[in-house]
Formats: sequence, C-alpha cells, structure tokens
Amino acid sequence: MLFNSFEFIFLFVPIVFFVYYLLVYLNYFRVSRIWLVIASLFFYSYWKLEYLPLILTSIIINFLLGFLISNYQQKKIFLFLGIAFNLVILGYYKYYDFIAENINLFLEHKLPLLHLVLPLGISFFTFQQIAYLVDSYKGETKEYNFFDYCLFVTFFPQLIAGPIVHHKEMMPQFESKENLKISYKNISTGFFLFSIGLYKKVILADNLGVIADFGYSNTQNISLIDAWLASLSFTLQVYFDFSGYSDMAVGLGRLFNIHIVWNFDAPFKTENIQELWKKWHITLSRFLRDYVYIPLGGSKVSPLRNHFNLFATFVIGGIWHGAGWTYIIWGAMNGIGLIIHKIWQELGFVLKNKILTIFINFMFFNITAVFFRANSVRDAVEILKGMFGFNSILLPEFLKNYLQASSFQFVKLGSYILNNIHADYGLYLLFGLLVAFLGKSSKSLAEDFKPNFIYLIFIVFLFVTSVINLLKVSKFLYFNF
Amino acid sequence: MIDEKIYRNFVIRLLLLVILILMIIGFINYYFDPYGIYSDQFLNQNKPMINTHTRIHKTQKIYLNQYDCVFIGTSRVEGSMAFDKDDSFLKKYCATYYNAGLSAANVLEVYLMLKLALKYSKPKKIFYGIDLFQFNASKIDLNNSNLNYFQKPFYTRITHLFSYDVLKDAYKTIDLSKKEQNFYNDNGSWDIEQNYFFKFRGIGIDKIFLLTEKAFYENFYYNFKYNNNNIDVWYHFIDILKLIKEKKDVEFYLYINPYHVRIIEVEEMRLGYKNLEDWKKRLVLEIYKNLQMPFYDFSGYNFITTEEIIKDKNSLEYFYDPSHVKKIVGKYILEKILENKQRGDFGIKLDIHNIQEYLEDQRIKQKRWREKHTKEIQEIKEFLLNHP
Repeated sequence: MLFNSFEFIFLFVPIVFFVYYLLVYLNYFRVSRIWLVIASLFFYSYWKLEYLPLILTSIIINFLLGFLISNYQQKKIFLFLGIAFNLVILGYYKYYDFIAENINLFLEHKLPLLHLVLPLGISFFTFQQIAYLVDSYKGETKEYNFFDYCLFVTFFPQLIAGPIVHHKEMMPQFESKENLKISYKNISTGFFLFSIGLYKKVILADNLGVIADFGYSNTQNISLIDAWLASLSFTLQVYFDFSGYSDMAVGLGRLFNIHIVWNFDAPFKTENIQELWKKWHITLSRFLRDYVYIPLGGSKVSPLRNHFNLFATFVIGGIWHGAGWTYIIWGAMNGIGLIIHKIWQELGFVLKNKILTIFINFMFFNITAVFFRANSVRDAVEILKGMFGFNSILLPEFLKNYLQASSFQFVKLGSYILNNIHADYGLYLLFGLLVAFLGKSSKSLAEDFKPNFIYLIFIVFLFVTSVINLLKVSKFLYFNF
Repeated sequence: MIDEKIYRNFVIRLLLLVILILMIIGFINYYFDPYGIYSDQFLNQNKPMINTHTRIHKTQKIYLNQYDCVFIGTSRVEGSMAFDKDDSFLKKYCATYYNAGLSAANVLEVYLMLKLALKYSKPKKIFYGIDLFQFNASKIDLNNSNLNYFQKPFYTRITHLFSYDVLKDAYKTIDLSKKEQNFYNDNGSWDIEQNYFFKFRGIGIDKIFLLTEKAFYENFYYNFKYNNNNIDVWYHFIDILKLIKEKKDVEFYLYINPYHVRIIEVEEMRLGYKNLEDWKKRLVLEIYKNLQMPFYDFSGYNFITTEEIIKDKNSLEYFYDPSHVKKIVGKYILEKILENKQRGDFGIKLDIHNIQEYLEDQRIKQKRWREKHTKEIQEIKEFLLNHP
C-alpha cells in the first residue's frame, strides 16, 4: 500500500489509529501492540501476499539468533550465521541476476537468470536486523518480547523505505506506558509532517519526474540545456520523493506517539559532500558508518587506509541501492568526492564564499546522481556529454531569424524537453529549487509548529492540494531499493 | 493540559476543514459529472469531456448496467457497431446492447474489459472485433493508472469525486457544453453526427485517408513487437480466450475488423506482409487450440475494403476513413456472423483447415489490386516518408 493512496489515507490509517487507541482505552496494552503488528503485516502483504512468509521467516530467524547471541557463549558463530543468513537472502533476491549476468560474460554455458521481483523493503528490513544482531553481540540489547521485536521490524511507517532505525530508538518507545496516552500535540504535528511529505511527493517529486523521465528516456545526443533540465529535475525528484516519504513516516509515527528519527535535514544547504551525507538519508549513512566504516578501521588508521575505507564504504552504499554498474559508479564517485574533500581539508584549503561552496557541492551531487538515475552507463555518459556541451546547444526555434545556425558548429535550433511535455513543468523545477535551497527543513518546520490559524490554513492547503492530485499515483523511488 | 486542549481543538478544526473542502469538491464533481459516471439526473446532460475520457465512462457503464449484448474492441468497433435503439435486425438478438469499444485499445485492455463485462454486465452475447495494432506490446504500459478503471471500478468512482482533474473538467464541461457535443450515443457507439470526423469535412476524403495512414505509420505500427518489457501480448490474448472458455453460458463471436486495404500498404512498410499473414495464422491456431471454434475475417481484400477513393469527394459508401467502416458494414458483419448471410466476398469463416488457402487467395487479390493502384500506392509512400 502506498502512503500516497486513497486507501491508505482514508481507510488504513484511520482504522489502525482508532482501533489502536480503542484497545489502549480498554487497557489492552499488549493487544494494542499486536494490533499494530497485524496492521503492519497487512500493509506489507497488501502489495504482494507472496512475500509475507519471507518477512516473517526473516523476523523469526533474526529474533532467535538475537536471543542466542545474547544468551550463549558462541556469540561469534551465531552472529556470523545471522549476518550470512541476511546477506544470502538479500543477495538471492537483489543481486543474483546482476552477478550471474556478469559471470555469464566469461562463460560458455550461461548461468540461468531468475528475474525475481524484489521483495518490498528487503534492503531496509535486512539492514535493520543486521544492526540488531551486531548490537546483541555487543551486549547493547536486552530481552525483548517477540511481538515488540516484530513491531520494531514491521512498524508500517518505516517498514518499506526506512528510516533504518536502531532497536534502542524504538523498543523503549513501544514499551513506554507514557506513549499509550493519546497526544493531540503529536497528532497535529504528525498530520502536519504527513501533509508536508505528501505535498513533496505528489506535487513536487511526481511532476519533476515527468521532466526527468522524458530526458532519461531520450538520451541520444541530448543537448546541453535538456541534459541539465533532466539531471536537475531528477536530483530534486529523488530528494522530494525520498524526503517526502521520510516526512510521512515520521508524521505517521507521531500519530502513535512514536518518534521516528529524521532521515533528511536540508542536505542541499550543506557546503561539502561530507556534510551532505550527514543530512541525506541520515540513517543509511549512520548504518554504513557504524557497521562498515568503523569496523574497517574508520579514521584511526593510516591516511591511505582511511581513504580506502571511505571509498569502500561508499561503494557498498552504492551496491546497497541496487544491483547495477551505475550504482557502483555512483557510490565510487561519492567515495572519491569524499576523499578529495578530506585531502582538501588536510591541506588547509578553505573556500570562504558560502554560496559558491553550496553551489559546487550541489553540482557535484547532481552530476553523480546522473549515474544513480540512468538506465545504463551508456545513458549516463550521454547525459553527461550533453551537460558539458559535447553534444549540442539547443536554442529555441524563434531565434532562427537572428542566428545563422550553420555558423555555429554546436548550436542547433529545436524544441526543448519542456516544449515536448508542458512548459508548466519548468515551474515545478523552479519551485523545487526554491524549496530545496531556501525552504526550511521539515525538522525545523515541525519544531516551529504552533496550533494557530496560519498553520491550520497551511496544513489544509498542503493536504487538500495533495489529496486532490492523488489520481496519478506513482511508486516511491526508494521502493526499488 | 491546557496545551493539549488547544491542540485538541486544532485537530478538530483541521479535520473539519479538510472534510468540508473535500465534500465541496466531491459535490461539484458529482453534480457536474464531466465523464458521465455518477448520475444522469442533473444538469449538463451534454458532456463533451466524455470524448477524451471514454475509458472511465465506458467501464463505469459496464460496471453499473446489464446488457444482453456487449461489443468489445477498438474504435473500429465503436464506429461500425452503431445501431439505433430500435434497430429491428439487432433487436432479434439483443434487447439491450452496449458498445464497449475503446479507441486504440490494446489486448490487455480488451481482456480487462471482457472480465469486467462478464462480472457485472452479465451479457448473453459478446462480440470481439480484433485488430492487429492491438498486439503491439510497446504500446502497453502495465503501470498505466487507467487500468484501475477496469480493475477497481468502485474505487474509481470514489477517488474521482475528490480529484482536481475532474474538478477542472467539471469547469470545462460547463464552458464547452454549449460549444461542443459528446460524440457518443448512450449505447457507447459513435454518434456520427457529432463525431470528430466531421471536423475534417471539406478537406477531401483523399486527404483524410492520407492523414489516417500517417497516424498508423507513425504511431500504431511504430516499434511494433509482440514482446516488450516483460509483456507478451499473445499471453494476454490467450487470457482472453481462457476467459471465453470458462463462460459456457455466454456466446462469443470473434472476428477481424475490416479496414481499407490502403492500410495494408502501411503494414507492409512497417511489418512486412508476411508478418500480417503470420499473425492471422497464429490467431487461427490459438483460437482453435483454446476454443475449437472458428472466427471471421472481414479484413484483407474484398469488395468493401477495396472501395475506390475518389478525390474531391467528401464521403465514401463504406468508410469514414481508411481505418473505420460505417455502420452499414457493421450490419453486414453481424449478418454474416449471426445468420451466415454472405455479401459478395465480404467476410470468411476461418479455421486451421482453410487458412492457408485463404491467404494464398488473398495474395492473388493483393497482386491484382496493386497492379491497378500503382500511382495511389506511390502517393501513400511518398506522403508517409516525406510529409512532415
């Protein structure tokens, strides 16, 4: 079920909400938590019932392994088994075909391809449970009830596309008696955040996606301006799509008095790539830092090894996003960017102009995002060639009378992407840039929130505008990861 | 505690305001009903926006009403199976009927429409007019939200109440209802007096033919393939046959729609004539394998589909344009199917035993037609390849 669908907003959430608080009101506290688990599993299996046994098996085995790690001497073996189990499942569903395709390049008798449909949210719930096993190994977990553990993994606001939460962030909240009281403050803040997220997704991301999709499906000899329109649109689309989803997740959590961690904090206002990654998909960055970068030695090693650790962490981050060379290159580019930033810092170089640093940082991210979105490395290269003027510079037809096109080798006359779709979409790009660079982060907006008339009108505007545009339902981009 | 009271009042006001605004939008969309899916009781009986929203309009008609006969297929069915309410010929077989043809419908949409009709309209007879361009997998988008119209008709009714697009079209309906007409009859067939072909009036039938052929060349037959992005059109077609097989109490009639042989020249250019023959062979085979029943071919070379194009003439006897035959031809089709009445060489019952002989005969007829129309063929090719 999508957050941006009528059935979710007008049926699922109200029913889950009212039954939950009814059970709490009747003092059925434990049942109320079980209700949330049932509702979350329903939410998950509404997409594809076939994957319900997979997530249930994953939960049961990880819970048992967590128990064994916490209570028995052979911790290391159980941890190894647990990580191997999770990675094998993830590898089978997500990476088998990619690996087989690449091995097949060198084999006479080809390995068969499985063409499996990726189970929804598998990368998220697998990483979340790996983190749980590692924390159990470190002795940072305590005895948890099975249903609370189920809720920790399946809680519907964060099940499919994160945030990737720590057990210590969630379990105490599920167990807290205080959190069982209905809080109108949390409900109104939650509604506000949900509306912001919905607006980001429905109005901004989906409309920007039209430009991006058009550009990325017509990459052949794409012109300079079109390539920039496509790449900028996608960068903003993925930002509003994913941060919108995360805002909705945080907002939904608040309805049940659960404070889910923030996943975004105005990343495009940062001045370097290190800062950007601290504010973009925060929980994945945190996971990679805690469970990949630090175990590799982190920064407490030689500079060269440290650079390698950074690079490896980002390549793994790229692979986590998807099975394909484009993701690996995207991760590698970010790793290299971070290494260059480190060296730059170590050499003591400082750029004082804040606007310039923000601009450079965003442009770097935008260029790497071309690989993130492109259907193939070849398409990505085509877009980049276009962005750097290697194809042609396309100018509007009306300039025909003023220019002799033949006198400029790289100047052509023709229509832009926007002429081919609808010029209004250009306004979304402009609006998106303004929101991303000048707007407050959702975190700040939630902190500033007051139950007054202005906020009332603002929320109603965001919510109603989004709801009446829900007919063109589109999946969240991060559902593919 | 005071805080909580303020927040409680805020939440109540917020919910009330949201509900109020959505109710107002819902009321406007229901009342003006631009796609004709809610109520026939109100004002604005003329709804020109239906012309561009036939999929939602027709799926809702099928969802809400029962008919003795349902016609499914493409706009060729919409145009040809257009009978008056009291048409005596059709009355013999169908007390009530609905033309559920959809412009440029692909096999997946036909499958979904058939499923919907069998579930809700409970017809006794179903007629399916098949077209080659329905089998172009590159024109099928499994993620198209329009598929919800077929799969979730009740959901569609509810969600469209609260839609900005419907609200905009409600406004357009008020604005356009005095200037434009809905060109569909209540029974889903074309109301040709209002039909958009009349916009072409005066440009000459030869120009209408060339423009339509260009649309086939550039759109319907462009990038033609049976398999694309995990879509196998034959799989969807066989699904249609399986549905038919399951329903023992419903009579099904399958036939290939007639179209002017000039379009075969476009098919030749895009696919090759051999592929057209192979398509027909496979149709015969799949229908025979799954249903053991014959079907009819009204396309190819016969006295109707080879009607001569006379320049400077504004209309033809059998065709609106090369893709759409007039309703008199629709009647001939039903006469052949239901009463086995043969008009000249129009229409043949095909099965695995006579398909090869039929295709050979078609080749001879094609050769004859081409010999007589070399200049016309040249003109078509030049227009398709050179005209911007």
